[in-house]
Amino acid sequence: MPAETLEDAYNALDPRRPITPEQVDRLFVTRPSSPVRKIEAQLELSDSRLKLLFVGHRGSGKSSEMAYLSTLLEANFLSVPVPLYDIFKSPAVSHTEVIFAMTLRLLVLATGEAVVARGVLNNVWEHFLEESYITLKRLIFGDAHIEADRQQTMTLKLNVLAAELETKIGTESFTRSQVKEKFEGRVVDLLEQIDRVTHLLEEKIGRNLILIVEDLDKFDPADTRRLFLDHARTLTAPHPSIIYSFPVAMRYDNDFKEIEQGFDDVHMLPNVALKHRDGLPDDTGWETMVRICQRRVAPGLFAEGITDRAIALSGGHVKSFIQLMQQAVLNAVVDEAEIVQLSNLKEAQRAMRDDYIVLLRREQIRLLRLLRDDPDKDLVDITPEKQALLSNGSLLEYADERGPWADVNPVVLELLDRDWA
Amino acid sequence: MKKILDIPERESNLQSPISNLQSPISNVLAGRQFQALATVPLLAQRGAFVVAMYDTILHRQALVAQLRQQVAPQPLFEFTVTPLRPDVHEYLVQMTPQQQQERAVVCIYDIECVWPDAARYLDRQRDVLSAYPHTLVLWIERYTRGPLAQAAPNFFSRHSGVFDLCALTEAPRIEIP
Repeated sequence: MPAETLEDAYNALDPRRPITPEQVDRLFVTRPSSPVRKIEAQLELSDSRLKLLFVGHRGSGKSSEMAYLSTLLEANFLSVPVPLYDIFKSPAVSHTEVIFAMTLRLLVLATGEAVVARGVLNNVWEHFLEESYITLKRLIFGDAHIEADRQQTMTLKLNVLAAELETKIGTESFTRSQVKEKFEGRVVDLLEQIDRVTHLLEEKIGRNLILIVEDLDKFDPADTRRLFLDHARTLTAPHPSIIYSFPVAMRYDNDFKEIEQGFDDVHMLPNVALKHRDGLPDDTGWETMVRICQRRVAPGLFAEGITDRAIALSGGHVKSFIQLMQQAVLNAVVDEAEIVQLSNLKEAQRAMRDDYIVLLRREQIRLLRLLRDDPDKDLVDITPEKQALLSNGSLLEYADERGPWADVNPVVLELLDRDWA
Repeated sequence: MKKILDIPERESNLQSPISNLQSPISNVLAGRQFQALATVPLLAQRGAFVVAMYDTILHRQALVAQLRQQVAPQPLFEFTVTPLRPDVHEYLVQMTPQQQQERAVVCIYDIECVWPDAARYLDRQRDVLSAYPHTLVLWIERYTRGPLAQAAPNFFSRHSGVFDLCALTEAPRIEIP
């Protein structure tokens, strides 16, 4: 039910929260140029387990699209999120740690109530759990002693151990260094464990597993580049299908061609185009943005023309649109107004524009002017200067049949004609 | 016009504890930017990230004192970033488990003192911080706005407002056609 009061609208327009799988029916809007349906088809049709890169700009809606994908695949796949930063809470992560995080997530899943409750554990399963428990205990704590417990107790023990380890490697430097030290040369063992638990799990739940590895944009870009360049084979070695949510900045890196080769495919999520590259309106894109708004907020809360103006200002960048609308709602509440008026949106627009005033340098303004006036708007020669503009959001990326193209963020446009002398 | 929230009247803003202060801070306290900042915690049921720009410690203290009054009964917590505590996430330590799960305002100070590490922590911790129903008010000096957007782009792109509460220097205002 879309929000019908300004207070509810404010909360429905929270720029911090992507759509969750549970909210997909209520909030998600499919968009043109999204690769999600193609990813779904690839995963459903392929005989092999695919390893994919999913690339998108900050705020373009990657996490919401992944939530949508998990609902599309629900019948045949179980999505397992692997939020690397939430687990390690550190500025960098090694290939061993990525594989270790996957192992822990799968062990927690395998020993969790949802799976255990599906039936009596067989001998193979029991043996696997016991072996996993002993291996983890011995390697990390140097303690391999276990009592001859019943298998259910072993399930519980392993579940507690895996969950505890996941907490400890993010909070205790000792545990993390133990993991690094003990598993550095034993990635093969971890991969073997992943393969075994995947087979057992898939057999038990009757669906394939797909790991969604997130948070790579939270680590130091140089370390992440090394991780993908030097260890692509390890990252793609685990048995289940894997989607790595990939930092967009690295897509324009010179090494990207090499990185790309290690994966089955790369998918890019562009912004929602509101016009074609020749400047003619793109009605499909525009309608998409209208629906995104209407799913969250009843249209009656906005004076006439407000939604259209906010859409135009957003340039089809979903988070900017949500942010603009939320701040316009706040301004209306401060005014004690019943609905959002044009003055409220203009105030929000000024605030967003001011974010760019402090961010952009003179040479960037000059480059943006050139890009605004470029009739082709092709994204071919991506110089570091253009990368910086894409990264700070002053240049927005789109896609059409001809390939990727870019245009200046509409909020920034008015700054380009200003005299900065 | 219908009153949507019980926002304290502006006249009352000029009472204690800042009644002894003269302009320019009293103008800021009575101004629209401060009212908007004080309204965010009243609206945001699941918390929010906001940025407040100030110019002197004395002014910041006056602003926070008034903010505390206006958001009551929500508690207001304060956390100062230091080289020993660069991780903003540590503000949770001063809260009880129950307080962690309840709405509150958390004022974060001195991020400039541990630059850029504190901003980077903030950026990486954005999802962890979003999980709590707290309105995080990041108090920065005006010149920090651009560097913050660069050092913590993911945090910055999720903000619910940047409020200019500087009393001594006025930001240039350019009208939008």
